[in-house]
Amino acid sequence: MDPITAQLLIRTASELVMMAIKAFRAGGQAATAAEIAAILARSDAVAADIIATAQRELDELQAVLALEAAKANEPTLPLGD
Amino acid sequence: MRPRISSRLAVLGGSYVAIVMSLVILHACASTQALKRTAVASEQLALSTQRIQQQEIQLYDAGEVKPTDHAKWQQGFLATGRAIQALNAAIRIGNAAEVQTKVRTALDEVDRLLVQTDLLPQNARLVLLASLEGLRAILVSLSVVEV
Repeated sequence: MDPITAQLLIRTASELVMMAIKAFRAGGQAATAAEIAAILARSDAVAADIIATAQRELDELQAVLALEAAKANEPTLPLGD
Repeated sequence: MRPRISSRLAVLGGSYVAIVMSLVILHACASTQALKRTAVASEQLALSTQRIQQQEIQLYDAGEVKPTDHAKWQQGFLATGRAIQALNAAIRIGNAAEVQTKVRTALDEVDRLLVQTDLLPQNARLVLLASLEGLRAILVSLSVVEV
């Protein structure tokens, strides 16, 4: 390898190292693994609440519809003499 | 007898190592940022969905939504909640393809909900649309920056 290529390679390497250090600092400040885990935990909790609420509403609705169906099928009591 | 390593060879070797290490760090930082953006979008979508679910229940309780429509809405919320949890699980694993698949599934579920938004006030529809756009933007950035 000629000296000019070697110089270029060294310069590229040092520039990349500087970029990596800057990105690492920025990434480290803005988005740590713990931060992402905390966001995901909050999102999961809200999603779990959505699921539980939807399930409760559907169960209640089913119970109401079953009651209405039962009422509709209920034989009319004969009136007393 | 051990061969001597010239100083130039040591510098070149060091440069190669520095380049490779730098690229690994840069990729890791980009991945972390992409994961964080996806996690934030997931939380926003969950909060928007929850808000709209509460509004729909209020409308149903007030007698403004038919029981059959109410059932459709709640089935949609159920599917969206599960899609958000599946997306979060994929983000935790950090697999790019998996995250993209789960984002698309969540988008499909929200799209299904949007079909029914005529029943809801305009502000609720806008909140859902904003979440949808946020998630679409994440999907685009994920395809540019691999997680």
